[in-house]
Amino acid sequence: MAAKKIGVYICHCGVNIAATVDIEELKRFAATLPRVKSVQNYMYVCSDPGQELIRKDIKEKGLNRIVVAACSPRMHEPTFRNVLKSAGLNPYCLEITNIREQCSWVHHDRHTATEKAKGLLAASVAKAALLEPLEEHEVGVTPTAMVIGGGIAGIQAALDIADTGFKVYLVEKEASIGGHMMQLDKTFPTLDCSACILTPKMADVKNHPNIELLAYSEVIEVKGFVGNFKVTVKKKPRYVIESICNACGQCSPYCPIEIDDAFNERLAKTKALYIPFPQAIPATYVIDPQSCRYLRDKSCRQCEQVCKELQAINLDQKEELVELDIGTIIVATGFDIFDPRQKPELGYGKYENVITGLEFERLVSASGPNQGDIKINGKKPKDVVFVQCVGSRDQTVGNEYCSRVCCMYTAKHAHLVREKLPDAHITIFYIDIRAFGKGFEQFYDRVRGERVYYRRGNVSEIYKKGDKLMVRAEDTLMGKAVEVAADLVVLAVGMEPSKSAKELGKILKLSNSPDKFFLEAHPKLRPVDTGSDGVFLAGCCQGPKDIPDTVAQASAAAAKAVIPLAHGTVKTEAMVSVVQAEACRGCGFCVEACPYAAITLEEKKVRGKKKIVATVNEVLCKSCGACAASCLSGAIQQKSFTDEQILSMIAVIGKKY
Amino acid sequence: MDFEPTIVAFLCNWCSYAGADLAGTSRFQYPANIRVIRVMCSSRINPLFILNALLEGADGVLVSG
Amino acid sequence: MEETYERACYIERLGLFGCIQCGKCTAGCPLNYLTPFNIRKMVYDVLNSSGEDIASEKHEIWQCTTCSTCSSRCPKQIEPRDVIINLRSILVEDGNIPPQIRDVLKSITINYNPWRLGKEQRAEWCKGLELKDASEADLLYYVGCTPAFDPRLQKVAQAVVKALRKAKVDFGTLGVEEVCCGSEIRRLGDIWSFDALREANTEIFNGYDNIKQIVTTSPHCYNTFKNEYPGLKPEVMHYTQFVSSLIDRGQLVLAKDYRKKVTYHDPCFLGKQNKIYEEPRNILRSVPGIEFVEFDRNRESSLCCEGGGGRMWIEIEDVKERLANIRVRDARDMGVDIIAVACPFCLLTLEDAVKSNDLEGKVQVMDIMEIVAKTLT
Ligand SMILES: Cc1cc2nc3c(=O)[nH]c(=O)nc-3n(C[C@H](O)[C@H](O)[C@H](O)COP(=O)(O)OP(=O)(O)OC[C@H]3O[C@@H](n4cnc5c(N)ncnc54)[C@H](O)[C@@H]3O)c2cc1C
Repeated sequence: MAAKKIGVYICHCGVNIAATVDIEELKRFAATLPRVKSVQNYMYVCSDPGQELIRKDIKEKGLNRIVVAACSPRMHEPTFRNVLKSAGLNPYCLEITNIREQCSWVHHDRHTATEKAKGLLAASVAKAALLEPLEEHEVGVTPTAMVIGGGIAGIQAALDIADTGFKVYLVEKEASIGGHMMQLDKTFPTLDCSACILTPKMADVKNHPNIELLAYSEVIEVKGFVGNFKVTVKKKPRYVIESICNACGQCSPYCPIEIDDAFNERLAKTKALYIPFPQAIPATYVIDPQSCRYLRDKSCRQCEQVCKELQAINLDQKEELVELDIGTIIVATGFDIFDPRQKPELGYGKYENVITGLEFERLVSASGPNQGDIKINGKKPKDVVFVQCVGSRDQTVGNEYCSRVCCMYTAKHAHLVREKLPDAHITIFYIDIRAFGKGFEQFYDRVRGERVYYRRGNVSEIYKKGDKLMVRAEDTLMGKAVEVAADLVVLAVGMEPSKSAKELGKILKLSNSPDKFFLEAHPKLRPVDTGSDGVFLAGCCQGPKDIPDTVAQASAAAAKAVIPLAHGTVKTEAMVSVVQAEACRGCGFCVEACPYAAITLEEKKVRGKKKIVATVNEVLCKSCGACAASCLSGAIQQKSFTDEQILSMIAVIGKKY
Repeated sequence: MDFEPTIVAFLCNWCSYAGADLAGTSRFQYPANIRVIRVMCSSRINPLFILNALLEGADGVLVSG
Repeated sequence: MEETYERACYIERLGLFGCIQCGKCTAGCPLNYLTPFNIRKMVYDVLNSSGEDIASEKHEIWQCTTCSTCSSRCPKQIEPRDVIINLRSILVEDGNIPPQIRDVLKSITINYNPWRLGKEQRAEWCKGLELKDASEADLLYYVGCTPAFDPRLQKVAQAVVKALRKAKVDFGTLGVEEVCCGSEIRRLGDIWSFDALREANTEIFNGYDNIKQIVTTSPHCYNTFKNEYPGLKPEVMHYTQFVSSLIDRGQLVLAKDYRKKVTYHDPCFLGKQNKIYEEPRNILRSVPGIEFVEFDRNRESSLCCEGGGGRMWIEIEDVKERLANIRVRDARDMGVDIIAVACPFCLLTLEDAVKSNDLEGKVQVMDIMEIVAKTLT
């Protein structure tokens, strides 16, 4: 084995590190550490000239272990591994010292920060001396993607992947795809009709040879890893056979049970045997199990009678579990609107003429319960008041963020009111108007010009006075409270992550940002990746956004998800566990400790003698190291995290230098 | 009280270490006497590591994952 | 230099830099229905000029009832109410306070009550009732200054006693040893005297090992014990919580019919500040024969009666209207016989409003416990 020659590269990161950590001092210190043959500092080590510095040193000075003291290894470990590789060194002969996120950014005092940096660097150098080259293996990839959630995000992502030629499963928990966009009337800022631009895409999903739609279904288990996921999908019983039903609709009128029409935001009724909306995909009816008489007490089979010829109804249908091999996964579970009952002072749920923005979309839609007539209790409202920021920018309900669409959809709503009720008095109470997107400010200008009163103030009370509602806010620009009478109040409710995404997040081991939406791998550079390899994000499940942003992100996620599929192979984890057969006692503690069932006990010949030893399946191993901690004889070790390596760090990290 | 304990921390790469990074990105300030060793999972922590850290002079050990 | 630093500290402590000037506080402020009092603007002014100047310039500072609607609704969770209390304490420290308030503060330090009555009269209300001493009971009934001294409220305290006895609760009182809880005085800005009262009370309460629970008549005492007395050992409850649980457990049976149409006025210190909305309603609904109706503005949207924050002792001038007037007229329009309350101050302010609106004999104000007492056999 060649002698270890270590190179240390200290990054200034502009002033990010250099302003707090004394680089010269750290450099002097690094040179005193054992086996260190070269120490260099540079403004940005991750930049091309910085990388070249390392490459040149490796070649010229024959370095074989590299330590980079810079930002978090979670940031640039892959970058520097590639540098080593391109210089002909094994990429795992690298150790990164985190002197930015966990040092210069969190300490003010230059002296103590520099002292800490020394301890951290000494530990890295100690470990680097013990690092061994590792091998990466490649395994094949199942050339199939899965998209979870069939809103506009999921639809776009599925279509894009399908167009590249790979197969896609699209899993939607509801009876039809379409998501919230299907409920919208017109869309800001261009006012195109939502259904007109969405339903053709839904039809494309249905007709695309590469897309298999699993509607009314949910993912309940995901095993495996990127390229080789095993996904279990639960298909809930529709009690209507999808392949037979031709959506003729003759059955529904005979169903004796009425239920709230969820698609119309409960502003109308539908039957317990229903189709969510006429353009639903799949175009199949469904029976609501909570309210169907037969399913509750076996008392009615009316619908079966009506559908005697086709026999599309099957009241004894059972749920089905489907197991699928999947290469990559896109999560597109969207959002739920904020429930304004959490803001009781606004009177939602108490006064029927206080409604949410989404209810307004249904009210104003030609396909809605009123055929698009804006009427409350059969009467056209004269005074309409909009309230912005309901459940957004509001710490009292735990939603600190701006929901990004409400300013614009409220402007759109005001425009639609003006279009249909030319004489209405329209007031919008706002805190700040956020018109940041393409064409937004122009749209806002246009709407104001349509005799819409924008008043700056956050509504604090809505109460009844005679047959009017009084909306009370301070007009902060006038500096006094005002009360505006209203026949209709529309609350611009914000977005929250879909409740049904919570369980899915656990299944896929996704993290959440403090706003509770799914966390991307990097806010700027990896906005559609997640911490789980092979799992990507699209649309509002990652954070509130409008349709243009949702679609852009969906296409981005599709491109990302196709990369491994197109590549055909993925690299397996290199830092897997390895068993030293001579030392193994075959006790099986590690087998029990392994959460991934990657270790088995097998009979092997060791030095000519048969013996039971632990054996690691490197494809299944996720390199957690639990086995190594459980091993009494030290026979099983995690590569790059061996006992010896970690102990070498412990020995020096806390010392005073 | 001049006592400044040295604390050795073992943090899981996927949660606590990422959390410590986030503290950095958010520029939260905390005392500099904590030294972090990254592991891929807190289940990697052998009791031996904790004892060793104390033997090597640490005043406290934090395992987080 | 030092002064500026101190000011910056208190602005930061109250989180005023977080204010986005949305005006939710002002529009929810009950005072703003009647006067130009603008709490948002006050926060802005404090942030951008010196607190001392504002304190002496703005006489509206004394109008605030500390109902805390502003604090409970602020989307950035700053505490506009505490800005007022802070400004008041600047004035108290300088001695720059109206004479009525000076009298109240003085009375509390001398008599341990704000009503300027001798402390030896504190047990007059229970003469002849032969109540147990706190040292002999599991539960302490903390009567509070107003129910102990005010002739109208004494009836409420007596009703509480009747119910507790009926339910066979083992309770005692502190008699003349009881000391003001300090809630109002703190809100008037005399944080120093409040600290003294807090220490005195904590010592008294924690001194009795036998006492597991304290039940108060007033939501104001309840609130301060619960939220502003760190280290208090016994559990603190408002009587509505305690009595509601007695009824639920079947320990207190409201037997007699009481055929009246009743509404309930939420006290700010019970409702908005401590989210106790259901227990009082539960008690009222348990009264046989009662027809219970809600004010349109109830629970989180309830109107303040203007009795809190020291306002029992401050007259504000140039005001045409009173919130209590709006309240009793609403009640009249609803056709109710009784406005039920659960707070001594609400009782006094609403009863005043009944008189000044010529509604005597039409609408009656009663404490929930008075209603309960009428249904006991
Ligand atoms: C009132 C209102 C008006 C708006 N107006 C406009 C506008 O005019 N212009 C504009 O650009 N934007 C507008 N928007 C924003 C727009 O609705 C969103 O940008 C868009 O709908 C986001 O699409 P999505 O696919 O990410 O989420 P969603 O539409 O929420 O779709 C998510 C889908 O995933 C499904 N799902 C959830 N969980 C699971 C699970 N566990 N398994 C399987 N499936 C699941 C859901 O059932 C749903 O079908 C408006 C929003 C609102 C609330």
